Amino acid sequence: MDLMMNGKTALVLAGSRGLGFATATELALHGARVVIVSRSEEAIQRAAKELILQVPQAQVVPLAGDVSSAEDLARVYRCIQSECEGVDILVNNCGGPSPGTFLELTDDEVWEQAYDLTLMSAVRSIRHALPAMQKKGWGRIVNITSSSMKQPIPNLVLSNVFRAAVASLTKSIALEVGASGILVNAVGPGRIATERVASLDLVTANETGLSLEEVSAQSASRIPVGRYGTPQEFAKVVAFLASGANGYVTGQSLLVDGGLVSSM
Amino acid sequence: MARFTGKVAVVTGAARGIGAATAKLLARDGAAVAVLDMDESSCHDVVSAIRESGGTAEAFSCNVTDSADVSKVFEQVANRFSAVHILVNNAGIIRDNLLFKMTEDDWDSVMNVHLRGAFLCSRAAQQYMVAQKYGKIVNTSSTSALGNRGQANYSTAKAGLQGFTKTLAIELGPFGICVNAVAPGFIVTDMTKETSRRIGVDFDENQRRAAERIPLRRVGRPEDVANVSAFLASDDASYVSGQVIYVHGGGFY
Repeated sequence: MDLMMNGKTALVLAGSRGLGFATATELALHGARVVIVSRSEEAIQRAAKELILQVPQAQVVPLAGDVSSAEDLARVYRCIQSECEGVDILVNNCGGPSPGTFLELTDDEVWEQAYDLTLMSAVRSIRHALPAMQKKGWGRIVNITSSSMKQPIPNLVLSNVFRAAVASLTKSIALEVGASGILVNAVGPGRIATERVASLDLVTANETGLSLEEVSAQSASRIPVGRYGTPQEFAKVVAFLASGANGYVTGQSLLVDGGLVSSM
Repeated sequence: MARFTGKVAVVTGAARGIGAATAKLLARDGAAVAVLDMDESSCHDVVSAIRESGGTAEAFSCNVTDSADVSKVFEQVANRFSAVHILVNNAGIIRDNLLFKMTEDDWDSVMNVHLRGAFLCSRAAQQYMVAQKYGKIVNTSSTSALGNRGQANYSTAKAGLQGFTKTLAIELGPFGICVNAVAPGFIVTDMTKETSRRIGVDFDENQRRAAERIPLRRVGRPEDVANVSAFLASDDASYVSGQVIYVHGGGFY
């Protein structure tokens, strides 16, 4: 399928590994020039090399920056502006906020960190990206969230609160910018086989005394399609929504979860 | 290789509108398409268009509310194309009326075509899909599922299809079958033309008014929905199941 991404510039935040990296790779495969951002200079350079190994014709611009920092995001967008006329495709992604229950997380600071990381990174990034999209009358924004935006996950209160906030932000912005030809959607992963999910499974394994394999098998047995997803399967959905092939879907929150979450 | 090469797709209500656009797109990308509608001759235009562009298609007359008819047609499709990989439950009708004027026949006809039709076709298709451990079912819900004046029957049926979608996703997931739904908003078809007629507004005027209330400032085209249905029917969506995607340009506001 032609996703019509040639000549487009895509920005993928938190693009050095996991879902962000898979998404950047998929967009590059379809011909977009990709700018990837992550905190560590070394990690982002390594990711760029790895991406080019996978997609030899890829144009990749690695930039170091902390997506939860307003200054760093401003700097990232200044770099992009100096090279081209802004971003056509924006994929907002970030690491997961700290785990924990509401009763455990009594410190305001940890809530404020989660707010900056999960919600404000998307708010600030979209604010920077919109003027160029509005000028061109074309844009695609995809916010990567979590299945927690539709159904709370035990022990992840910060994710549950702020991912849902991003879903609502997605709908609000979709209303405001639709007339400029900008489509805004959110995509949430269920259990996708990333390092993050493996580390969560390891925590469960340590708590329950089960092996890591037993924990993953139990978890997979609760998923209708019977397995974890791959980062690439997730990335293909993001790529579709971020493409010219999507012309009329906006303000939607979609899960890529193999049927796991049963909310309406 | 095109994304549906070697795949066999069944599209119900495929003679016109969204069904026709979906059948054409699946065929363009390599699927052999069974074009189902009440009246076989009404499928002629779609089948000819597909064949003229070098695709494979065949028309089948099928009353989706009739169990024997559905079984027979799926058998014919499987004989003709040797498998069924993709089912798009799209057949639909409207019998709009305010509740106090709605007849039992208005109610039953709409329930039968959408719900009984999707049930019978999915039940027939799953036999082939489960055996081959592969299948894609795309149901056609609607923004009317969220409530729409004059559509107590249609709204109920379209909301029902969302529950149907989620339940089939759970039951059929272990057999490698993904089940999802699209929920179109205002799409320019004969059906929305009929709605305009009913409410006594010129169709062009109705489209213009609707576009003002849609964030994207335009009404949808059948192809807008077909693109999403085809994506869900493709292996690019191999981990997407139980989802309902609204294709409505951001919805009315």
